[in-house]
Amino acid sequence: MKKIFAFVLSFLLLFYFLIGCSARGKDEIKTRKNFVVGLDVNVMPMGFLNEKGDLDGVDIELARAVFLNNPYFQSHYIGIIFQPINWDAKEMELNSGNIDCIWNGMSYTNERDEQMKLSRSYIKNSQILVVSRDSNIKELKEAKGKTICTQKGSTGFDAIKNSNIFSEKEIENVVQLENMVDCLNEVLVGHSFGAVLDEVVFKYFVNKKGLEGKFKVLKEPLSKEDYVIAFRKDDVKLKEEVEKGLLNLIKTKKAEEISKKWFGENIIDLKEVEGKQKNSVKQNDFGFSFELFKGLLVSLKLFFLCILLSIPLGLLICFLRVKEIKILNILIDSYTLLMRGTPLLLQILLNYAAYFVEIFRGGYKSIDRGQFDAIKVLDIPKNRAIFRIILPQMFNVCLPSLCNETITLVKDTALIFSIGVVELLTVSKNMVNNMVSIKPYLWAALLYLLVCFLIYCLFKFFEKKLKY
Amino acid sequence: MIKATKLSKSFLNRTIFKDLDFMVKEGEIKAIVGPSGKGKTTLLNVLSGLQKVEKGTIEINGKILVKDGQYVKLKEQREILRDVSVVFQNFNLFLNLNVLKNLEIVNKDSEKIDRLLKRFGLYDKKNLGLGGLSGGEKQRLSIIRALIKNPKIIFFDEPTSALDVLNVKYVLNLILELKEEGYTIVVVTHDLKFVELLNCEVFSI
Repeated sequence: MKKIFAFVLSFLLLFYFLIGCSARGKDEIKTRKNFVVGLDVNVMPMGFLNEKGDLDGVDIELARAVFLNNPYFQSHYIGIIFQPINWDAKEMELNSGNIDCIWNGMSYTNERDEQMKLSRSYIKNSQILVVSRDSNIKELKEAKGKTICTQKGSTGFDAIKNSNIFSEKEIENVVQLENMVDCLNEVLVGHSFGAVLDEVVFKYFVNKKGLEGKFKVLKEPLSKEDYVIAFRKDDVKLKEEVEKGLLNLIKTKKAEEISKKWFGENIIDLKEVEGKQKNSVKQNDFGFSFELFKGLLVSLKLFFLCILLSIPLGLLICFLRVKEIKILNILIDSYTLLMRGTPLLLQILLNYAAYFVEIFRGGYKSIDRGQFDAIKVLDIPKNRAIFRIILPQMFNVCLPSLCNETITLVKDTALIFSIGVVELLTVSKNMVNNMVSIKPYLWAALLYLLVCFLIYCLFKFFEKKLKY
Repeated sequence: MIKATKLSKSFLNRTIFKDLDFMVKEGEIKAIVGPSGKGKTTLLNVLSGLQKVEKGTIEINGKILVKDGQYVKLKEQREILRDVSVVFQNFNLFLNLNVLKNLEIVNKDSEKIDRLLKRFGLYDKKNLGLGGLSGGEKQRLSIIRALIKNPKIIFFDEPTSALDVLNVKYVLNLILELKEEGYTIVVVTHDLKFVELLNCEVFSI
């Protein structure tokens, strides 16, 4: 009877489960979403608000074109929306599902590659040296010793610093101006020999203002960067569909059309990001970093601090406890009760001492009364008796429990994170967040295991040594 | 010499003995006999200072340990009890120490240790752990340990209870030898045959 009942019940459960599934499937189709592109609205000419207050830019046009030209998007999304985001929280916006991708002239960096799924490079940008058309400079290093200007706080300034061409003094003397127009004016009137500018913005500016032929651009860039589109780490499908759409636009010359409209020439092409492979192998495949060792070191410090203080404390209190003095017993028992009964986090050291008291007390109690009788009758001095007879016999009994407790302590050092100490688990947690991979946890587990194993070996060694 | 008068001892409200008198002269053997549970071992413990009486007087080699239930100062107690040694029923050897170290922890006099080890046939085993000794050997070690303290009075608690016939004979001869050497000896036993062989005064509890 019971069996039949169970069978019917499980059948019903399965039935409801299946119904539930199909209902959810329907729901999904009904609530088909918009394809949401996240962007900072201040990036000229990639994505910005134009004079009329509308969103405009190369990326906006590209995204629209990809959406319209790849049937995948029509079947999976209602429409395309551009969503202004807080640039500093872009990863969070992406992971929380507020936006589906970040498409905003975003440069490739190793850090971003760790945190998000990045597309291939669709525009190769660089920091370039722009000089007057009359200048006969041919190589970048000829600019050494000349007055250079750039935009304040821009990538251009970083490029000058990292180029290894200019001395520290010269870098200090670089003229930093508010905007690109000022920089170009400086060059035109001859106050500055040249300006280090963003190639994409410069080309857009020249095209828009009809300044073709007024400046000379050095072929050799100070630094290069790749514009990429970012997706959620696990959203490989979407990344592939967007890249497919882009390739299609390039093939059908639609991309060239957009590029020429903005820059006067075609600079859009889908290419691998330079120097990407090397970095991604190092950081992603193993999910390992030496930061973990730093965390381990902190964990070990905590561990040794606790163990070195709590074992002697436990031992001391144990010896006071076994004296069986009434008032002392009450005090010690309430201490052990309090400490064992409150969250360990509050008092990691004292807590462990309380456990050790009871472990040692068990060891002490297990010593045969006869041993104490013999010590007394034979008039063996107290210190000698404690260190050569009582303690060795106590430890012989306690070691397995001590080993247990010590290993627990290793793992409990992780609790200390709550007061802001960055130990092993915190480090690995941060790494997991950054890499969007659980591999750092596995490494942390391995390190914890290793430490615990070493402790186990140590205790085994002592056990052998004390065995009689 | 031990002279005890009017000893009373109870444990958890149970009277173990009351108004008990006990006496052993210097250089003599005295056997304490009686059925189990009558307090033979307790008497031994009281006389060797391991337990305390509530009432009575104990005098050891002319010095007073307790008078009318009042014990002398701890330091004096230790001084008086220095003359007393015990061979325990189950030996109470220090389990974590080897043969030699069991002796050295009492007294570092290595010359005496070696002499006694040789006399009792344990010299070859001095570096063994206790696990390597037979019951008889453990008892001999325990006797050496009692002697190494340089006592004048030695208590034997049930010395034959764990031994075979051969070892019983060995212990018997040993106790008689020790008497000849001038030790005062108290043997607690329920083995009446052994008492007969000891040929000594008997105290029935």
